[in-house]
Amino acid sequence: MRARQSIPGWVAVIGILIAALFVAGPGPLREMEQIGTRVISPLEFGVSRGLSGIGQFFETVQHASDLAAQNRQYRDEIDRLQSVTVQYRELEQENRDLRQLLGLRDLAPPGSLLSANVIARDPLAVMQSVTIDRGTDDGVAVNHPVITWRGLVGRVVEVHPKSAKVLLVTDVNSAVSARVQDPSSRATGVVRGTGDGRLILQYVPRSDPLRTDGLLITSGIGGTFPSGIMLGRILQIRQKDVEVFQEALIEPAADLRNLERIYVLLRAADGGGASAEQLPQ
Amino acid sequence: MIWLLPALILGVLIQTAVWPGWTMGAVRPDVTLALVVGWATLRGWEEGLLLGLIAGFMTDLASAAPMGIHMFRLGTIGAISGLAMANLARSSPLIPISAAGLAAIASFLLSVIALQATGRVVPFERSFFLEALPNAVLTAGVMAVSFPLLRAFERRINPPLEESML
Repeated sequence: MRARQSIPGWVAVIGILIAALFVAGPGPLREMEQIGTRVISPLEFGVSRGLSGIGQFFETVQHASDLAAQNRQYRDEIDRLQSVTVQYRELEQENRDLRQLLGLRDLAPPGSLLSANVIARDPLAVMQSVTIDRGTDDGVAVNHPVITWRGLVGRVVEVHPKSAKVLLVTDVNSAVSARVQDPSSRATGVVRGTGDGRLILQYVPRSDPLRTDGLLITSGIGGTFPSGIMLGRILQIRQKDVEVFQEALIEPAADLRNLERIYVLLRAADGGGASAEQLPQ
Repeated sequence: MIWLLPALILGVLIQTAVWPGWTMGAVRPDVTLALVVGWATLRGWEEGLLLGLIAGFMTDLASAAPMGIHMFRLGTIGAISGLAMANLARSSPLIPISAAGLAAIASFLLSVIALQATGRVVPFERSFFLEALPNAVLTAGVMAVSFPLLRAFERRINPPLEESML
Protein backbone atom coordinates (compact mmCIF):
# COMPACT_ATOMS: atom_id res chain seq x y z
CA MET A 1 0.00 0.00 0.00
CA ARG A 2 1.34 3.41 -1.04
CA ALA A 3 0.80 6.68 0.79
CA ARG A 4 0.53 8.82 -2.33
CA GLN A 5 0.64 12.48 -1.44
CA SER A 6 -0.19 14.26 -4.64
CA ILE A 7 -0.83 17.99 -4.80
CA PRO A 8 -4.48 19.13 -4.85
CA GLY A 9 -6.22 20.00 -8.11
CA TRP A 10 -6.62 23.69 -7.28
CA VAL A 11 -2.83 24.11 -7.17
CA ALA A 12 -2.68 22.78 -10.74
CA VAL A 13 -5.43 25.19 -11.80
CA ILE A 14 -3.47 28.12 -10.31
CA GLY A 15 -0.49 26.83 -12.32
CA ILE A 16 -2.54 27.09 -15.52
CA LEU A 17 -3.60 30.66 -14.66
CA ILE A 18 0.01 31.70 -14.01
CA ALA A 19 1.05 30.09 -17.30
CA ALA A 20 -1.74 31.96 -19.13
CA LEU A 21 -0.50 35.23 -17.60
CA PHE A 22 3.01 34.45 -18.81
CA VAL A 23 1.79 33.99 -22.34
CA ALA A 24 -0.65 36.88 -22.49
CA GLY A 25 0.65 39.48 -20.10
CA PRO A 26 3.44 41.92 -20.93
CA GLY A 27 5.13 43.73 -18.07
CA PRO A 28 6.52 42.28 -14.84
CA LEU A 29 5.83 38.65 -15.79
CA ARG A 30 7.91 39.11 -18.94
CA GLU A 31 10.79 40.01 -16.64
CA MET A 32 10.71 36.37 -15.51
CA GLU A 33 11.66 35.36 -19.04
CA GLN A 34 14.67 37.69 -18.93
CA ILE A 35 15.72 36.25 -15.56
CA GLY A 36 15.23 32.69 -16.79
CA THR A 37 17.28 33.38 -19.90
CA ARG A 38 20.07 34.83 -17.77
CA VAL A 39 20.18 31.51 -15.89
CA ILE A 40 19.89 29.14 -18.83
CA SER A 41 22.24 30.92 -21.28
CA PRO A 42 25.42 30.41 -19.24
CA LEU A 43 24.45 26.75 -18.81
CA GLU A 44 23.99 26.37 -22.56
CA PHE A 45 27.29 28.13 -23.13
CA GLY A 46 29.03 25.84 -20.60
CA VAL A 47 27.58 22.68 -22.12
CA SER A 48 28.47 23.84 -25.63
CA ARG A 49 32.07 24.65 -24.59
CA GLY A 50 32.38 21.41 -22.61
CA LEU A 51 31.19 19.24 -25.49
CA SER A 52 33.44 21.12 -27.88
CA GLY A 53 36.45 20.55 -25.58
CA ILE A 54 35.71 16.84 -25.23
CA GLY A 55 35.29 16.50 -28.98
CA GLN A 56 38.58 18.28 -29.64
CA PHE A 57 40.42 16.08 -27.12
CA PHE A 58 39.28 12.85 -28.79
CA GLU A 59 40.00 14.29 -32.20
CA THR A 60 43.55 15.17 -31.11
CA VAL A 61 44.20 11.67 -29.77
CA GLN A 62 42.78 10.14 -32.95
CA HIS A 63 44.98 12.16 -35.26
CA ALA A 64 48.17 12.27 -33.19
CA SER A 65 50.22 10.59 -35.92
CA ASP A 66 49.24 13.22 -38.47
CA LEU A 67 50.04 16.13 -36.19
CA ALA A 68 53.80 16.25 -36.80
CA ALA A 69 53.32 16.36 -40.57
CA GLN A 70 50.58 18.96 -40.18
CA ASN A 71 52.84 21.01 -37.94
CA ARG A 72 55.48 21.22 -40.71
CA GLN A 73 52.80 22.19 -43.21
CA TYR A 74 51.49 24.86 -40.89
CA ARG A 75 54.96 26.38 -40.45
CA ASP A 76 55.26 26.70 -44.22
CA GLU A 77 51.76 28.11 -44.29
CA ILE A 78 52.63 30.68 -41.59
CA ASP A 79 55.59 31.87 -43.66
CA ARG A 80 53.35 32.20 -46.68
CA LEU A 81 50.60 33.98 -44.73
CA GLN A 82 53.05 36.45 -43.24
CA SER A 83 53.93 37.59 -46.72
CA VAL A 84 50.22 37.73 -47.59
CA THR A 85 49.60 39.82 -44.46
CA VAL A 86 52.08 42.41 -45.66
CA GLN A 87 50.26 42.53 -48.98
CA TYR A 88 46.92 42.70 -47.17
CA ARG A 89 48.00 45.71 -45.12
CA GLU A 90 48.99 47.49 -48.28
CA LEU A 91 45.63 46.69 -49.84
CA GLU A 92 43.80 47.73 -46.67
CA GLN A 93 45.48 51.11 -46.77
CA GLU A 94 44.68 51.45 -50.43
CA ASN A 95 41.06 50.44 -49.76
CA ARG A 96 40.79 52.99 -46.95
CA ASP A 97 42.11 55.71 -49.20
CA LEU A 98 39.71 54.80 -51.96
CA ARG A 99 36.76 54.68 -49.57
CA GLN A 100 37.57 58.08 -48.24
CA LEU A 101 37.83 59.19 -51.80
CA LEU A 102 34.35 57.87 -52.55
CA GLY A 103 32.80 59.07 -49.31
CA LEU A 104 31.97 55.53 -48.13
CA ARG A 105 33.55 55.80 -44.71
CA ASP A 106 30.29 56.16 -42.82
CA LEU A 107 28.59 53.29 -44.62
CA ALA A 108 31.04 50.68 -43.37
CA PRO A 109 32.26 51.79 -39.96
CA PRO A 110 34.93 49.73 -38.22
CA GLY A 111 33.49 47.29 -35.71
CA SER A 112 30.25 46.69 -37.57
CA LEU A 113 30.82 42.93 -37.47
CA LEU A 114 30.48 41.19 -34.09
CA SER A 115 31.70 37.61 -33.86
CA ALA A 116 29.49 35.15 -31.96
CA ASN A 117 29.36 31.48 -31.06
CA VAL A 118 26.33 29.25 -31.51
CA ILE A 119 25.57 27.87 -28.04
CA ALA A 120 22.25 26.13 -28.58
CA ARG A 121 19.76 25.09 -31.19
CA ASP A 122 15.99 25.19 -30.95
CA PRO A 123 14.42 22.33 -28.98
CA LEU A 124 11.52 22.28 -31.46
CA ALA A 125 12.48 20.40 -34.62
CA VAL A 126 10.20 22.50 -36.84
CA MET A 127 11.96 25.72 -35.82
CA GLN A 128 15.17 26.49 -37.68
CA SER A 129 16.81 28.76 -35.13
CA VAL A 130 19.91 28.93 -32.96
CA THR A 131 20.96 30.77 -29.80
CA ILE A 132 24.19 32.81 -29.85
CA ASP A 133 26.34 34.05 -26.97
CA ARG A 134 25.89 37.76 -27.74
CA GLY A 135 23.06 40.00 -26.63
CA THR A 136 22.03 43.56 -25.85
CA ASP A 137 25.16 43.98 -23.70
CA ASP A 138 27.19 43.63 -26.92
CA GLY A 139 24.94 45.92 -28.97
CA VAL A 140 22.85 43.22 -30.64
CA ALA A 141 19.26 44.17 -31.45
CA VAL A 142 16.25 42.53 -33.07
CA ASN A 143 16.50 42.31 -36.89
CA HIS A 144 20.28 42.56 -36.98
CA PRO A 145 21.49 40.35 -39.86
CA VAL A 146 23.70 37.36 -39.05
CA ILE A 147 26.27 36.12 -41.55
CA THR A 148 29.26 33.84 -42.02
CA TRP A 149 32.10 34.51 -44.39
CA ARG A 150 30.18 32.45 -46.97
CA GLY A 151 26.91 34.35 -46.83
CA LEU A 152 23.66 35.16 -45.02
CA VAL A 153 22.65 33.02 -42.03
CA GLY A 154 19.52 34.79 -40.78
CA ARG A 155 18.40 37.58 -38.51
CA VAL A 156 18.07 38.18 -34.79
CA VAL A 157 14.46 37.64 -33.67
CA GLU A 158 14.81 37.79 -29.89
CA VAL A 159 17.49 39.39 -27.77
CA HIS A 160 18.47 39.14 -24.12
CA PRO A 161 21.38 40.75 -22.24
CA LYS A 162 23.82 37.87 -22.78
CA SER A 163 22.24 35.90 -25.61
CA ALA A 164 20.11 36.23 -28.72
CA LYS A 165 18.01 33.95 -30.87
CA VAL A 166 18.60 33.86 -34.59
CA LEU A 167 15.98 32.71 -37.11
CA LEU A 168 17.82 31.01 -39.96
CA VAL A 169 17.03 31.84 -43.58
CA THR A 170 16.10 28.17 -44.07
CA ASP A 171 13.12 28.46 -41.70
CA VAL A 172 9.82 28.49 -43.58
CA ASN A 173 8.87 31.73 -41.83
CA SER A 174 11.95 33.56 -43.07
CA ALA A 175 11.70 35.86 -46.09
CA VAL A 176 14.54 37.84 -47.68
CA SER A 177 14.37 40.15 -50.67
CA ALA A 178 16.87 38.86 -53.24
CA ARG A 179 18.41 39.76 -56.57
CA VAL A 180 20.17 37.66 -59.18
CA GLN A 181 23.84 38.55 -59.49
CA ASP A 182 24.14 38.38 -63.25
CA PRO A 183 24.98 41.22 -65.66
CA SER A 184 22.33 39.95 -68.11
CA SER A 185 19.57 39.68 -65.47
CA ARG A 186 18.76 41.84 -62.48
CA ALA A 187 15.72 39.75 -61.57
CA THR A 188 14.45 40.28 -58.05
CA GLY A 189 12.25 38.08 -55.88
CA VAL A 190 11.70 36.80 -52.38
CA VAL A 191 13.76 33.97 -50.91
CA ARG A 192 12.01 31.78 -48.35
CA GLY A 193 13.18 28.77 -46.37
CA THR A 194 11.81 25.36 -47.24
CA GLY A 195 12.41 23.88 -43.78
CA ASP A 196 14.70 21.16 -45.12
CA GLY A 197 17.90 23.18 -45.30
CA ARG A 198 17.26 24.75 -48.70
CA LEU A 199 15.74 27.97 -49.98
CA ILE A 200 13.21 28.82 -52.63
CA LEU A 201 13.18 31.95 -54.77
CA GLN A 202 9.63 33.15 -55.45
CA TYR A 203 7.78 35.95 -57.23
CA VAL A 204 10.21 36.29 -60.12
CA PRO A 205 8.30 37.24 -63.29
CA ARG A 206 8.64 34.65 -66.05
CA SER A 207 9.97 37.35 -68.34
CA ASP A 208 13.10 37.73 -66.15
CA PRO A 209 15.79 35.25 -67.17
CA LEU A 210 17.13 32.84 -64.52
CA ARG A 211 19.87 30.31 -65.08
CA THR A 212 20.98 27.25 -63.13
CA ASP A 213 24.13 27.90 -61.04
CA GLY A 214 23.36 31.61 -61.01
CA LEU A 215 24.19 33.42 -57.78
CA LEU A 216 21.69 35.22 -55.56
CA ILE A 217 22.44 38.16 -53.30
CA THR A 218 20.31 40.26 -50.97
CA SER A 219 18.68 43.18 -52.76
CA GLY A 220 18.49 45.52 -49.76
CA ILE A 221 14.78 46.14 -50.35
CA GLY A 222 12.94 46.32 -47.03
CA GLY A 223 15.93 47.59 -45.09
CA THR A 224 16.52 44.62 -42.79
CA PHE A 225 19.37 43.16 -44.82
CA PRO A 226 21.91 45.34 -46.59
CA SER A 227 22.32 44.71 -50.29
CA GLY A 228 25.01 42.44 -51.68
CA ILE A 229 25.19 39.63 -49.09
CA MET A 230 25.54 36.24 -50.75
CA LEU A 231 22.41 34.09 -50.36
CA GLY A 232 23.05 31.04 -52.48
CA ARG A 233 23.19 29.31 -55.84
CA ILE A 234 20.29 28.34 -58.10
CA LEU A 235 19.92 24.56 -58.26
CA GLN A 236 16.72 24.17 -60.24
CA ILE A 237 14.25 26.45 -62.00
CA ARG A 238 10.52 25.69 -61.92
CA GLN A 239 8.20 27.23 -64.49
CA LYS A 240 4.56 26.46 -65.20
CA ASP A 241 2.70 27.70 -68.26
CA VAL A 242 -0.30 28.78 -66.21
CA GLU A 243 1.63 30.84 -63.67
CA VAL A 244 2.82 34.41 -63.92
CA PHE A 245 5.84 33.86 -61.70
CA GLN A 246 8.62 31.31 -61.79
CA GLU A 247 10.40 29.73 -58.82
CA ALA A 248 13.91 28.45 -58.23
CA LEU A 249 15.36 26.05 -55.68
CA ILE A 250 18.42 27.54 -53.98
CA GLU A 251 21.38 25.97 -52.20
CA PRO A 252 22.29 28.34 -49.32
CA ALA A 253 25.77 29.86 -49.55
CA ALA A 254 26.39 29.53 -45.80
CA ASP A 255 26.67 26.05 -44.30
CA LEU A 256 23.58 26.34 -42.11
CA ARG A 257 23.53 22.71 -41.02
CA ASN A 258 26.79 23.05 -39.16
CA LEU A 259 27.11 26.56 -37.76
CA GLU A 260 29.76 27.39 -35.23
CA ARG A 261 31.29 30.82 -35.68
CA ILE A 262 29.06 33.50 -37.06
CA TYR A 263 28.96 37.30 -37.24
CA VAL A 264 26.24 39.73 -36.28
CA LEU A 265 26.13 42.73 -38.56
CA LEU A 266 25.57 45.60 -36.16
CA ARG A 267 24.03 48.94 -37.12
CA ALA A 268 22.37 47.64 -40.29
CA ALA A 269 18.96 47.46 -38.63
CA ASP A 270 19.50 50.79 -36.90
CA GLY A 271 19.56 52.63 -40.19
CA GLY A 272 23.33 52.73 -40.34
CA GLY A 273 23.05 51.21 -43.76
CA ALA A 274 26.19 49.11 -43.74
CA SER A 275 26.87 48.25 -47.34
CA ALA A 276 28.07 44.91 -48.59
CA GLU A 277 31.49 46.28 -49.38
CA GLN A 278 32.82 45.35 -45.97
CA LEU A 279 31.08 41.99 -45.79
CA PRO A 280 32.80 38.70 -46.34
CA GLN A 281 31.44 37.06 -49.49
CA MET B 1 8.63 17.32 -7.43
CA ILE B 2 11.09 20.16 -6.87
CA TRP B 3 13.92 17.59 -6.87
CA LEU B 4 13.17 16.93 -10.53
CA LEU B 5 14.15 20.48 -11.56
CA PRO B 6 17.86 19.65 -12.12
CA ALA B 7 16.77 16.70 -14.29
CA LEU B 8 14.50 19.03 -16.30
CA ILE B 9 17.31 21.57 -16.77
CA LEU B 10 19.60 18.73 -17.89
CA GLY B 11 16.90 17.55 -20.29
CA VAL B 12 16.59 21.01 -21.86
CA LEU B 13 20.38 21.29 -22.17
CA ILE B 14 20.59 17.88 -23.84
CA GLN B 15 17.89 18.87 -26.32
CA THR B 16 19.50 22.18 -27.22
CA ALA B 17 23.22 21.30 -26.97
CA VAL B 18 25.47 21.77 -29.97
CA TRP B 19 28.47 19.47 -30.23
CA PRO B 20 31.35 19.23 -32.70
CA GLY B 21 29.94 18.19 -36.07
CA TRP B 22 26.31 18.83 -35.06
CA THR B 23 23.77 19.22 -37.81
CA MET B 24 20.73 21.45 -37.79
CA GLY B 25 18.11 18.93 -38.88
CA ALA B 26 19.32 16.03 -36.74
CA VAL B 27 16.50 14.22 -34.91
CA ARG B 28 16.82 14.12 -31.13
CA PRO B 29 14.73 12.62 -28.33
CA ASP B 30 12.44 14.84 -26.27
CA VAL B 31 13.98 14.21 -22.85
CA THR B 32 11.80 16.71 -20.97
CA LEU B 33 8.67 15.17 -22.47
CA ALA B 34 9.75 11.72 -21.29
CA LEU B 35 10.29 13.09 -17.76
CA VAL B 36 6.89 14.81 -17.72
CA VAL B 37 5.02 11.73 -19.01
CA GLY B 38 6.90 9.46 -16.60
CA TRP B 39 6.18 11.66 -13.59
CA ALA B 40 2.52 12.14 -14.56
CA THR B 41 2.19 8.37 -14.87
CA LEU B 42 3.51 7.89 -11.35
CA ARG B 43 1.95 10.88 -9.60
CA GLY B 44 -1.28 11.79 -11.39
CA TRP B 45 -2.55 14.62 -13.59
CA GLU B 46 -2.05 17.46 -11.11
CA GLU B 47 1.70 16.96 -10.75
CA GLY B 48 1.95 16.03 -14.43
CA LEU B 49 0.36 19.35 -15.35
CA LEU B 50 2.55 21.40 -13.01
CA LEU B 51 5.76 19.65 -14.04
CA GLY B 52 4.74 20.09 -17.70
CA LEU B 53 4.24 23.83 -17.21
CA ILE B 54 7.61 24.19 -15.47
CA ALA B 55 9.39 22.09 -18.11
CA GLY B 56 7.58 24.09 -20.80
CA PHE B 57 8.74 27.39 -19.31
CA MET B 58 12.36 26.19 -19.27
CA THR B 59 12.09 24.96 -22.85
CA ASP B 60 10.46 28.23 -23.92
CA LEU B 61 13.56 30.07 -22.68
CA ALA B 62 15.70 28.12 -25.12
CA SER B 63 13.34 28.34 -28.08
CA ALA B 64 12.70 31.01 -30.68
CA ALA B 65 9.07 29.93 -30.85
CA PRO B 66 6.58 32.38 -29.28
CA MET B 67 6.63 32.28 -25.47
CA GLY B 68 4.14 29.75 -24.12
CA ILE B 69 4.19 27.19 -26.96
CA HIS B 70 6.16 24.66 -24.93
CA MET B 71 4.21 25.41 -21.74
CA PHE B 72 1.05 24.66 -23.69
CA ARG B 73 2.24 21.39 -25.22
CA LEU B 74 4.04 19.99 -22.16
CA GLY B 75 1.35 21.13 -19.69
CA THR B 76 -1.36 19.50 -21.80
CA ILE B 77 0.65 16.31 -22.27
CA GLY B 78 1.41 16.17 -18.52
CA ALA B 79 -2.26 16.46 -17.57
CA ILE B 80 -3.54 14.02 -20.22
CA SER B 81 -0.82 11.48 -19.41
CA GLY B 82 -1.68 11.61 -15.72
CA LEU B 83 -5.37 11.10 -16.41
CA ALA B 84 -4.94 8.37 -19.02
CA MET B 85 -2.24 6.39 -17.27
CA ALA B 86 -3.73 6.35 -13.79
CA ASN B 87 -4.99 2.78 -14.14
CA LEU B 88 -2.70 1.47 -16.86
CA ALA B 89 0.79 2.32 -15.66
CA ARG B 90 1.38 -0.58 -13.33
CA SER B 91 -0.10 -3.28 -15.52
CA SER B 92 2.83 -3.56 -17.92
CA PRO B 93 6.28 -1.93 -18.12
CA LEU B 94 5.76 -1.48 -21.86
CA ILE B 95 2.81 0.86 -21.40
CA PRO B 96 4.77 3.93 -20.22
CA ILE B 97 7.24 3.37 -23.07
CA SER B 98 4.45 3.24 -25.66
CA ALA B 99 2.81 6.22 -23.97
CA ALA B 100 6.00 8.26 -24.38
CA GLY B 101 6.02 7.54 -28.12
CA LEU B 102 2.37 8.50 -28.47
CA ALA B 103 2.91 11.57 -26.29
CA ALA B 104 5.77 12.69 -28.57
CA ILE B 105 3.45 12.54 -31.58
CA ALA B 106 0.66 14.32 -29.67
CA SER B 107 3.21 16.92 -28.56
CA PHE B 108 4.21 17.53 -32.17
CA LEU B 109 0.56 18.00 -33.18
CA LEU B 110 -0.01 20.43 -30.29
CA SER B 111 3.10 22.41 -31.32
CA VAL B 112 1.84 22.64 -34.89
CA ILE B 113 -1.59 23.85 -33.72
CA ALA B 114 -0.03 26.42 -31.37
CA LEU B 115 2.46 27.66 -33.97
CA GLN B 116 -0.26 28.01 -36.59
CA ALA B 117 -2.44 29.83 -34.06
CA THR B 118 0.37 32.38 -33.66
CA GLY B 119 0.56 32.88 -37.42
CA ARG B 120 3.60 30.75 -38.20
CA VAL B 121 3.85 28.42 -41.16
CA VAL B 122 4.77 24.79 -40.42
CA PRO B 123 5.75 22.28 -43.14
CA PHE B 124 3.49 19.62 -41.64
CA GLU B 125 3.95 16.49 -43.78
CA ARG B 126 7.71 16.69 -44.04
CA SER B 127 8.10 17.46 -40.32
CA PHE B 128 5.72 14.70 -39.31
CA PHE B 129 7.39 11.90 -41.23
CA LEU B 130 11.03 13.01 -41.00
CA GLU B 131 11.07 14.55 -37.54
CA ALA B 132 8.06 13.70 -35.36
CA LEU B 133 8.00 9.92 -36.01
CA PRO B 134 11.76 9.33 -35.47
CA ASN B 135 11.55 11.63 -32.45
CA ALA B 136 8.72 9.49 -31.02
CA VAL B 137 10.87 6.35 -31.32
CA LEU B 138 13.84 8.03 -29.62
CA THR B 139 11.64 9.48 -26.86
CA ALA B 140 10.20 6.01 -26.18
CA GLY B 141 13.80 4.80 -25.89
CA VAL B 142 14.56 7.54 -23.36
CA MET B 143 11.46 6.52 -21.41
CA ALA B 144 12.69 2.90 -21.27
CA VAL B 145 15.78 4.16 -19.44
CA SER B 146 14.27 6.97 -17.40
CA PHE B 147 11.03 5.39 -16.16
CA PRO B 148 12.69 2.84 -13.81
CA LEU B 149 14.83 5.68 -12.44
CA LEU B 150 11.78 7.91 -11.94
CA ARG B 151 9.91 5.07 -10.24
CA ALA B 152 12.83 4.40 -7.90
CA PHE B 153 13.02 8.12 -7.13
CA GLU B 154 9.28 8.32 -6.53
CA ARG B 155 9.45 5.35 -4.13
CA ARG B 156 12.29 7.01 -2.29
CA ILE B 157 10.38 10.23 -1.66
CA ASN B 158 7.05 8.43 -1.15
CA PRO B 159 7.79 5.03 0.39
CA PRO B 160 5.11 2.30 0.77
CA LEU B 161 3.12 2.61 4.03
CA GLU B 162 4.56 -0.57 5.52
CA GLU B 163 8.13 0.69 5.11
CA SER B 164 7.33 4.19 6.31
CA MET B 165 5.60 2.83 9.43
CA LEU B 166 8.67 0.78 10.28
